[in-house]
Amino acid sequence: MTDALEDLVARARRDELTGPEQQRLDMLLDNSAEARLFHRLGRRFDGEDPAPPIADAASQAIVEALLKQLHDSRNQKRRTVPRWSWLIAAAALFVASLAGAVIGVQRLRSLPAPTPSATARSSVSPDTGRAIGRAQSSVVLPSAPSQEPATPSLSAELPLPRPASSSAAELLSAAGRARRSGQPTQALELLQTLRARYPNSPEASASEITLGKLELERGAAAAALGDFDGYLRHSPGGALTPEALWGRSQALTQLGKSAEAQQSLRELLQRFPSSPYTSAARAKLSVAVPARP
Amino acid sequence: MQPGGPDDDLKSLVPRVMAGDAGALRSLLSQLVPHLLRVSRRVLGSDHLFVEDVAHDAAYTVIGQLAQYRGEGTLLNFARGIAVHTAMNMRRRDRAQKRGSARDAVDTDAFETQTLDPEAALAQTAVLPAVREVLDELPEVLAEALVLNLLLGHTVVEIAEIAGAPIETVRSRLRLAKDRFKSRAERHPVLREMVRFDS
Repeated sequence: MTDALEDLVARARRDELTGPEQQRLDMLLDNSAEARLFHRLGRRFDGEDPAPPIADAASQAIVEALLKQLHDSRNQKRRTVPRWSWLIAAAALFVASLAGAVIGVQRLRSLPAPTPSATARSSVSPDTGRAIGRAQSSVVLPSAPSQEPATPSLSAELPLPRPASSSAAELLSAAGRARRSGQPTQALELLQTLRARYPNSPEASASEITLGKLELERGAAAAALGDFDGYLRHSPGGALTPEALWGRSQALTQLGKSAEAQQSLRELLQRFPSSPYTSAARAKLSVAVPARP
Repeated sequence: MQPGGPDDDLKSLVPRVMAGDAGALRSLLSQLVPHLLRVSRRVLGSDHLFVEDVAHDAAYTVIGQLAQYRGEGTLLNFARGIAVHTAMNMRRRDRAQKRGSARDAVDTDAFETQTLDPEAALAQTAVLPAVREVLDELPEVLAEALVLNLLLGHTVVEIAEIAGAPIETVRSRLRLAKDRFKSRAERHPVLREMVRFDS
């Protein structure tokens, strides 16, 4: 193991150093202002959350959402097989029609003296045109499987769900993506679709948090407060209660109701002392009510 | 060695997940997601609106890219690399849209109303968001190296594994990143005092 400063500092933050290594680090810290600076900063970041990371309510909610989303995605992939059949059949029809058209044209060309009646009698062209038209529309009409990747990729944006077949999890996830990509209107529409189509689903309940965040983002604090309160009312003891309490405090702060915002933060700290919002909530409370010496 | 990570028995779950074993998928996600959430929280700040979304997207990407994981490093570090990129992309997007400051942990309005020792309160609550702000100004590869080292506590060897870069390259990036960070921090209203204090 190298004793480079970066490694010693990193391992010290995990309490992994032996006695001699700790002595060497102490010496390096004594002699380097830069080392002290980065060591202190690193320790501050470590103070933000527990180590090792724990499976808190937020991570459990993410796992459940992912499992549902991946499950639905696989089911959808299976359902695309008949669409592939459609696509192949349509392509075969298109090729057959094209071949028929070529043969027909060749036969027409081989005729010694085409007459208007012969052209009129020949149904090759119009039929071919219709056949091609059918084939083309058959290719386009089914949802193209290529737009539904079986597995997600880092570079490709995940597909938006089709309105008719999207699961609640897909709608919620798509709304989150729309919101993050700066499309709040689309995000709102997706959330409204979710709540209308799956009113009793856990995703509909979670969507109140998403809606609240969306409202906060566009400065509509009163609407956001209604969403967070709605979640707390509809899902007492729900997995996203810390998020609701935190969002509630942010909305109340924006509305200038600092006393109520602090009350929400205190409730958050009291009920969920190890939530991811703990340090931020404490910091906000300490700023709002500075400790007197 | 990994910061707070389990032994890499996660690798053994990969073939089962690829074969469609739902139990293995649950087990893998349950072990990975807390780590990805921590990456997201440290890079974005705990109260960023999209902390959970970034962890979710990173985990979804990890599952989608399992076929590309060749077992050269630990699966956890493979996943952490994806999470760092996802979170840093979010910060870049925030910055581009000039929305990041509204979501930082610092509530600047609150400082105007406090009556006692505003400097101390500011230093206590504003340092970490300020560090993130300065990191945003660094070139991508330098910021990535410093995020992995400073925010997440990885050693040089681990950073090399996560970033897919030679060890000496990582050392060089860290050196350069720290120099640039310091010179920017010296001009930052929140970090300036801390840098001078340690000088």
